[in-house]
Amino acid sequence: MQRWFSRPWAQRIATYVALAAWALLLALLAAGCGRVGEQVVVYTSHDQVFSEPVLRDFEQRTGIRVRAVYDTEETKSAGVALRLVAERERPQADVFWANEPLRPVMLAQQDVLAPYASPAAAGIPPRYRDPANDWIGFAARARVIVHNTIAVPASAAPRTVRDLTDPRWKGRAGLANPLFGTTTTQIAALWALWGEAETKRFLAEVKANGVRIVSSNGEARDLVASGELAWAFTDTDDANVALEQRKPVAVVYPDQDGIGTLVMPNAVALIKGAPHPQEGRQLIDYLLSPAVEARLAASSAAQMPLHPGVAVPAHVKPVSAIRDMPVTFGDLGRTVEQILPFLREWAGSR
Amino acid sequence: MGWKPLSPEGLRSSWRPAPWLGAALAIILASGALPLAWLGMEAIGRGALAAEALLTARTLGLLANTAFLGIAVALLAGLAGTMLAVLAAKTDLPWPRALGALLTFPLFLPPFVLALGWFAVLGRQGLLVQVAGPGVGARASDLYFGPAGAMLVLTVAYTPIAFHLVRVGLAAVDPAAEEAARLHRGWAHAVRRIDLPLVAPSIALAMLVTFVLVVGELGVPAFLRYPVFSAEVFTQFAAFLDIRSAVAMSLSLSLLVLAGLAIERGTLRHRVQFLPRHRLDAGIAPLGRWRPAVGVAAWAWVAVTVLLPFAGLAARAGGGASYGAAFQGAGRSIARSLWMSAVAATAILVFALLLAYLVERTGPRRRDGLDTLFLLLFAAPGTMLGVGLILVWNRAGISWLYGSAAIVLLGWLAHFTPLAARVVGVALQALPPGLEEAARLARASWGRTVWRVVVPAVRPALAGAWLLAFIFCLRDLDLAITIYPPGAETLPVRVYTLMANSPEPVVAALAVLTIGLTAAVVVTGAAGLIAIRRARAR
Repeated sequence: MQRWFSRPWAQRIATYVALAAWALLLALLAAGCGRVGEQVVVYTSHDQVFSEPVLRDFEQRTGIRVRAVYDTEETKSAGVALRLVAERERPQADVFWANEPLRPVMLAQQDVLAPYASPAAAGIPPRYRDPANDWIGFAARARVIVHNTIAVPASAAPRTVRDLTDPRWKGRAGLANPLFGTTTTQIAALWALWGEAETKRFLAEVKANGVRIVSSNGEARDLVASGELAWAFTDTDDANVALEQRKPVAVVYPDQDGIGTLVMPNAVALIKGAPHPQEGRQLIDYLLSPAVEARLAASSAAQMPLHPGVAVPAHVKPVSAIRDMPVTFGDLGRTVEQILPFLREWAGSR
Repeated sequence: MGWKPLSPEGLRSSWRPAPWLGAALAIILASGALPLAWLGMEAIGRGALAAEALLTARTLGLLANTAFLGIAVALLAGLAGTMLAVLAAKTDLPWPRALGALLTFPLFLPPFVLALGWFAVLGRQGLLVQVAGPGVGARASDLYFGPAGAMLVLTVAYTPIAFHLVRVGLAAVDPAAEEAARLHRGWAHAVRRIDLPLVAPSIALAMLVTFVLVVGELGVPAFLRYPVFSAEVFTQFAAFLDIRSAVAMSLSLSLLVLAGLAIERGTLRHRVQFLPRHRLDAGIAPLGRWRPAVGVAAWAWVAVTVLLPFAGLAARAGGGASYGAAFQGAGRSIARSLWMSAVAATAILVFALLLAYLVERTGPRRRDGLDTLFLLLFAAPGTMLGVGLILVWNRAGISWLYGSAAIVLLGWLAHFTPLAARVVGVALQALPPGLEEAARLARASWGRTVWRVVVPAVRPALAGAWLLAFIFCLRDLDLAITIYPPGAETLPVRVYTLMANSPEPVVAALAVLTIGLTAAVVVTGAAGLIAIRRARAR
């Protein structure tokens, strides 16, 4: 019996080999963790497909290694903004590159951001940056209507946000979940322009008109492209992707004769207590440069430069050619906490 | 622990499981329970708010939707998985291994990718429209976007859990017991009265695991526009950036999980007594003249539920250019996912064996308490566990832990060890304690007994537990996306973050690549195991 229990040499060797393999793996892991050198950590909610090439380019130009955490409100992950809040006591990120300014405004309220007056921001209009330089905007998108050209000819296409309440579109129009992303910004802008009572009345009519609330702007675009919806609100970068793929869609800049179209810049911010602040500032300077704006304009994102004089492709509408909604993002950020509980009830009770 | 000394010699022997089991328990508690307890402390003060919010008609409706979806999917997946497992393990069904391997594919994928696959079939521009015309396609699409679609996708996603757990359970049944019943009343009677009662704990475990996974699922119901409670918790996290309220709200999801556990425990877990196993060769029931019909039915199930959505994805991915674009930059993510999942699954296996031993070989009261605690660790939403890990482990002096892949490994260890421990535990229930008692009488140490007696006896369950842990780590999204170190994303995270505004064919190609790579690893591993088994048999 004793012999039966004795461990053979082969098994002993196998055990030692397994232990050695584990030790080697842990050593490799530790070595990987301990890798030093110039680096910058960026958390971004800008779509990875657009932001990754820009960050790689910065890496090649400066030799500073970029370690990125990607996210997008479109795919509804809990988000880098949540991670920034959770890491507030001991930040890991140096830079937050947001795809719209509302989250940076909320993070500034939670004392997560540090001011940085980047010299590269000279020329960016004041309305697209925080007065205290907690965040600075660049490369904007617009909130537009995308319609299916087979179901809705251009002559009959909706022209205003009020069309969401038009009975002829009952059950055929769409809007992304207003609790997330740029739809929150759009509703907050309407709230700022129309006031609480008027916006609530409008949203009640939207609900009564059977507007379909979908999970993201990308899904809204896809449902329009596939003909499941006649039209929907989305962002210019989402719409441009469908246009590049030659989907049967067309874009309308709404309310050009009225309250204007909402124009939303990307926003970049330095994190308070950033572990690599110098490299973080370098990355911010790079992102705010006209060259990056030109690059984002020429990409599938088709984003509109905010620096004056940056050349854009023919299909990208310059910001100066758009009648912009007269709102201030700082004000929107301050009212959003009041709006979100209402929107949760509104969206949830559908 | 639960052992009583057999003799004075026994007391003097090196039978000391307590330090090992205690250390394993402490590590799992530090990895998972501590972060959750930390969050609970953070949420104190919001409990009243959460209770108030829960009592509104809307939130009660969301909870009802969640419970309905969880129960429906658990029942459907449990039924389908059990039937297919019985056919594959106990009959002469054609190509049972191939059927099992194909059936497992959906489990490799994050469910939202599977939902995309079905959308490629049932959407208004999907495969069905091309076959049946736009009228049928429109109706199918309307049906898909709702509870029916959510049930379909999640049932297909989680049927493999029941299939594999029941198959492992059936492998532990003594053919001698079946034979007695078969000689008396035939195979149908043997399966109904011997096999199914003996694998009832496996069925119950599979349904419980499925229920827990569905209750915490967000991506599929959100994509298919079926309102569930996890969306409410998510909203608190992501829209309001309010961690404390989100944690308080998620307590009600824990109540649903506890209800599921109570049902499982009350109805099945304690009733079954495994018989000592006298024979090792498996009993196979001949299907006779029914073999072609049953074979066609089983394979049709696999073809429709598994191959069809993958065909939809493959069709959407198109040619090689999409795969080239998908692979570009994804190589590191693929390698990272594979090695991290393999390391985590191996560590999970060690802890699962120790914790299963702790649960199954101690008194019933302690067993129930530990079992409940472990299940809550598994049921905790990945996002919540991730935030807890950040709060606990993001500290000065241990940046090597939080700033590296080790934090993801730690999270997976806490999140998925309970699942693997349950799988091993089912096998331990079937192992007669007499074997270990004999080893102890022979003055073998506890470690040697586990290594030389317990491990060989439960080897199929250990292999199944490793595979399950590997798959769950490989497909994890919620936890990994919350804590992955900057610049080191796993494959599901990359697929997820690239989905926005990437060309559809590239996203579909990424999904197909995920399936293909995982399948290659699993098939290679399975082939290796079979080769080793054959070599030993010779």
